[in-house]
Amino acid sequence: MSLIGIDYFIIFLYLVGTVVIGLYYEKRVSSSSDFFLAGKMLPFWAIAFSIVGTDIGAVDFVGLTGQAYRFGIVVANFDWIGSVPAMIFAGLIFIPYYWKAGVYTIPEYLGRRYNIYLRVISAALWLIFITFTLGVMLWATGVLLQEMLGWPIMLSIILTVVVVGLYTITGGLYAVVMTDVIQVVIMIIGSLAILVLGLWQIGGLNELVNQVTALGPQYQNHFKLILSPETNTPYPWTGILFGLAFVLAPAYFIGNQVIIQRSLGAKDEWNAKASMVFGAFLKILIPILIVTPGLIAVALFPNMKDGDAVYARLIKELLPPGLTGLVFSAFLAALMSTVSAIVNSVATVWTKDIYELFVKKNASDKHYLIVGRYVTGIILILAVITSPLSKEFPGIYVYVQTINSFLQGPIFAVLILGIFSKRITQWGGLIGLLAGIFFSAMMYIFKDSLFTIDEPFLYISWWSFIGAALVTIIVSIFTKPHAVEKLRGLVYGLVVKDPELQEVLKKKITQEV
Amino acid sequence: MLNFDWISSIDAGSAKLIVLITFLLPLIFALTLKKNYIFAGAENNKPWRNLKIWVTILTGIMLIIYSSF
Repeated sequence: MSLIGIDYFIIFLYLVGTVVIGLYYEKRVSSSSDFFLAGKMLPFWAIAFSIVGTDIGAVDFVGLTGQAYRFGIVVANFDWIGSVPAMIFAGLIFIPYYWKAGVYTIPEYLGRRYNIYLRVISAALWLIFITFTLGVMLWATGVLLQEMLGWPIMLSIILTVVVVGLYTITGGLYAVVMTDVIQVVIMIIGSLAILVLGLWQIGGLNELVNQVTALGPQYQNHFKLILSPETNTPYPWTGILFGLAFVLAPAYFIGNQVIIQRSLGAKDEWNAKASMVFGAFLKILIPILIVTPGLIAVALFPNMKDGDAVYARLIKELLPPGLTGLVFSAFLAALMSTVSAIVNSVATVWTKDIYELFVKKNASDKHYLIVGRYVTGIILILAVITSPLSKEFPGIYVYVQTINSFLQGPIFAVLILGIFSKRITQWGGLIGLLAGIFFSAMMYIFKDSLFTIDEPFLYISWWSFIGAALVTIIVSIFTKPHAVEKLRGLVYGLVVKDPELQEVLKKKITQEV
Repeated sequence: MLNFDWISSIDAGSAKLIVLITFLLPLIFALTLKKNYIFAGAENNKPWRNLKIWVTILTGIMLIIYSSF
């Protein structure tokens, strides 16, 4: 596939526009709160776009379309039941709670609620995995662009890192969120182009259903959201409900720093709540834009062996010049929105949970702002340096994602128990987290003898959550809890029902802004 | 047990019902919240800012989609 002049012009326009918009917000950054939390000035609609932009990476475009080609609309569950209920609960319960408690990071909360060991372990685990994931993600996208366009892998990576670095280092979270808005709009327009032209060629939605189901019995489940555990699929309804809807989705929208940080930068409590609920509306659109093209490909090119090649084929066969450039801009936009969100969050966790705690306490605010900017640059350089490691270890992207998903259940169990119960102790939380990670690792190692489905990551998430929660509760029964006075502002009931505390937190937030 | 054998014999219709109830839970929760909590921090109390209405529309869309597929 090759691009022509108009396509390159559109991509160039997108890149320059992104940098200009990002740099424009540099003037808003004069403190560390401006850099890490956008000075608590963000409106709900911008946060919602940013959450969705962060969630959908460039590799997801190719991966989700390919999965839809193989398994049908069941993969839409990740954006529907695997997002909407969790986002509503996050928006109505947890986001206003974090916002009122005035925390910057999830490890900071865990440290205040439990102890410093839990803060450091959760921060270190998260930093190691997310930095490594960044390099792997950049490489995976570079490979895709090489396969589709013949671009050298390192050219795509360096281009992405330079553009993201320019606006993230200067404009902080405000620039990240505002460029995300533009990037998601471009992603939607680019995806709509493939959707509309594909349906046009097939003859409409009804014709799509008729053509796919007429291909044979192996396509009988392609339009079913609920699949029996006896079906040959990694997405049976039991895994979707227990692993995805009850553990992975809440862990992602309630306990993932990259997602939460945007809402913590909201300009008031209502905007913080509304950002998640409005984000759920946008999430409903994602399967329509990304999963449906996978089904269109089933009807148009039914015998493709490699699901990951489906997206490139759709672009090649359906799009005229100009629109191809727009879709590749959407592709770069998806990558950049995810990368910028990750580096901004890594800079926040590193500065607040490691540097401020162990390297330099009580420095000036200006000092932490400079450190945040340096860390952002260093993380991007590290990501470029570590990205070629993927070449040495094929399949590492899936491996890293799988391992990362195994941490979600235990961390979520400890987080949720700590938020809702003052009886849970610091040692209960620490041992529960370590035990949950151990359970995940054991279940993964012995997955072939323990589970009957091929990729049991949804089941492992659920059982590691249950294991971590049980150990946390049992250890807490036999150990001494923190005094109630120490838990003020950290346990749900003690935050929302304490008017004196609310007044203190309100003043603190006003001072920070 | 780890493979959810105890629940896998449930037929597709019942499984769909369980999923639909999962969508109804956040709606029921939202509807029980007090008005001053929903509007806390809002510039004004105009009807479009009522998050209960947003959640009701969201849930409605999801129920229609999951009932259809």
